[in-house]
Amino acid sequence: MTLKLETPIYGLLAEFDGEHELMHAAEQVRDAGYRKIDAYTPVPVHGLSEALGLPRSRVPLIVLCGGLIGGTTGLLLQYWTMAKAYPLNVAGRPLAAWPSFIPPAFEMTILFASFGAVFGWILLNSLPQPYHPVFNVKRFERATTDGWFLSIEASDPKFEYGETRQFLASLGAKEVSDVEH
Amino acid sequence: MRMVDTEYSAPRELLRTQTLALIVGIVGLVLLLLGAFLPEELLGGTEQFWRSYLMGWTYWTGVALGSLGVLMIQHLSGGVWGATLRRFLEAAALTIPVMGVLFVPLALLGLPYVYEWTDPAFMRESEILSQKTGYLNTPFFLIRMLAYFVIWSVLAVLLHRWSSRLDRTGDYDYASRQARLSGPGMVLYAITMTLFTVDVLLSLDAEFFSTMWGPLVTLSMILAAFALMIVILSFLTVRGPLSQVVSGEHFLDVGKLLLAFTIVWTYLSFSQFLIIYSGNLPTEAQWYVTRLQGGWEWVGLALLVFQFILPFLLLLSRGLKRDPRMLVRVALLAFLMQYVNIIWLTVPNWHRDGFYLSWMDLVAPIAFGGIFLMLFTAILRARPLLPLHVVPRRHPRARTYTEAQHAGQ
Repeated sequence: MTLKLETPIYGLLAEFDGEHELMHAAEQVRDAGYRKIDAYTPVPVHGLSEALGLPRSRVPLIVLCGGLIGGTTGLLLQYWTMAKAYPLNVAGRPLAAWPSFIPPAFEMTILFASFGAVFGWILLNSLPQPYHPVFNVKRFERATTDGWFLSIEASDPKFEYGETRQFLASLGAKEVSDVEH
Repeated sequence: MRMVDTEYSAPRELLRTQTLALIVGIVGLVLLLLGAFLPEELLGGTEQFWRSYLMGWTYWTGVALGSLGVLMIQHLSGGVWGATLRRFLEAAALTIPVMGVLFVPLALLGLPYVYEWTDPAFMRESEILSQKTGYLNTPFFLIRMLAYFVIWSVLAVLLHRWSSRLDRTGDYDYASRQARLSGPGMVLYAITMTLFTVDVLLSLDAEFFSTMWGPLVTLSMILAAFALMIVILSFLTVRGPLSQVVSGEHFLDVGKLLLAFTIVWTYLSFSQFLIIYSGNLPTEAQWYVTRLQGGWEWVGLALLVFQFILPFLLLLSRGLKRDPRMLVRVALLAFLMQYVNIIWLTVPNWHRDGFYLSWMDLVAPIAFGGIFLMLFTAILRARPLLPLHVVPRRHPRARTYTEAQHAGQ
């Protein structure tokens, strides 16, 4: 029997009994050298990203850029409107009264940083995504109630169908399913 | 005695620290007293003595009071970071009665050298000031100070005592008593701290007033206290018994809180400035006009850079907050900058023409620091460094400092 299948699959999906089993399995899979792995859980699990060995999120960088753009825009907008476009003497203060500029500039910083956070997060997660191969596994519906899943993609260089399948089973998976495209 | 009791008992070096602190405190006080008899050309004198005394006393009393505030917040909010800091906070808060006693010499002998409102003739000079005499007079001032210190001392002593009993008996009823006291205690704290900061620091300029003052100065004290507690925690973790329990996650938690306190301090400072800037009324604006010229503006700039911009940017880093050796430097900076803050709040009131600083202004915080740390270590050494019945002491799923060192992180 050959290990290569006629129709290449997306990967393998293993189901575990609970949080601790999943964490343990994720660490083992990571240490075994797999990179294209992901986990699906009904509740957020603290430390799972580290267990999966996921790279650091790029969202903070986008947030920082958004904040800087927002703050600068806020300051420049006020400077231009208050001191250049329509100079208005407010109780004898300087036209560029920077203390008064700070609160709106701060709000703009927060606004654009939030935009960066929300839209950056959506884009980096390639959302909206109406279809994903793991949906082909019937049991995967339970990922929203009581299922704890770990997937390894077939495109991972270390992926070797029989070996990987056995490895997942040896980690205590309840069931290992093939994921079709 | 159970194993756990000895495991977290205070290290012997703390006795050395205590002796050293006592020596520093005594030498500092002797220097201050000598300074009181020096002529004004050598930046000494009775007037200078009492002013420096007030600055040093306020700085370290602020640490004790800030600790009481953080301790009550911790009893109400919970959180893993609290168990590791609780003993330090309790020890610092328990110094409040002694700090109160240290105010007595100033109250009896020094007030006229420090507060302009003690002079009835001065208060009759203007309409605004004469309206304030009902509140700003020496007898009422002394009564208020006594009331504050009685209230705080009762809170600190009760919280400390129940914590000791919880250790001995393991009866969680004491833990819920602490939480029940901290609720009303926090309300009392907010009221008394507002009045106290107004009495001790704001009234240095009898004409000035600011509704932001109470929260701002109280938060400064909490910030100073929290920064010092981080310094002590990291000291006892890197080379002490807490390395078995404390993890990078603990430092991440307290680092985040230090960042939060830094931001709130800046927020309140700026709010006060912006409101007075916008209002532009002579009685209020004068306070900032004095401080934005004659050299004082550089003190303000130093506060902006080293109490906000630099710590803010550094504390954004997750790696820095997790590493006690790095975090301790930022905390130390924040702690020292709070003395610059005290200078900024006090000295310009006495020297409105331009920058002025006596050597005694720098000796005073060291002298009072010696006394405070002597008391602090003496109280701290008497009990294990961690509360025995507070869970969780360890951060869930985190390597302790020792484990992380072994793993080569």
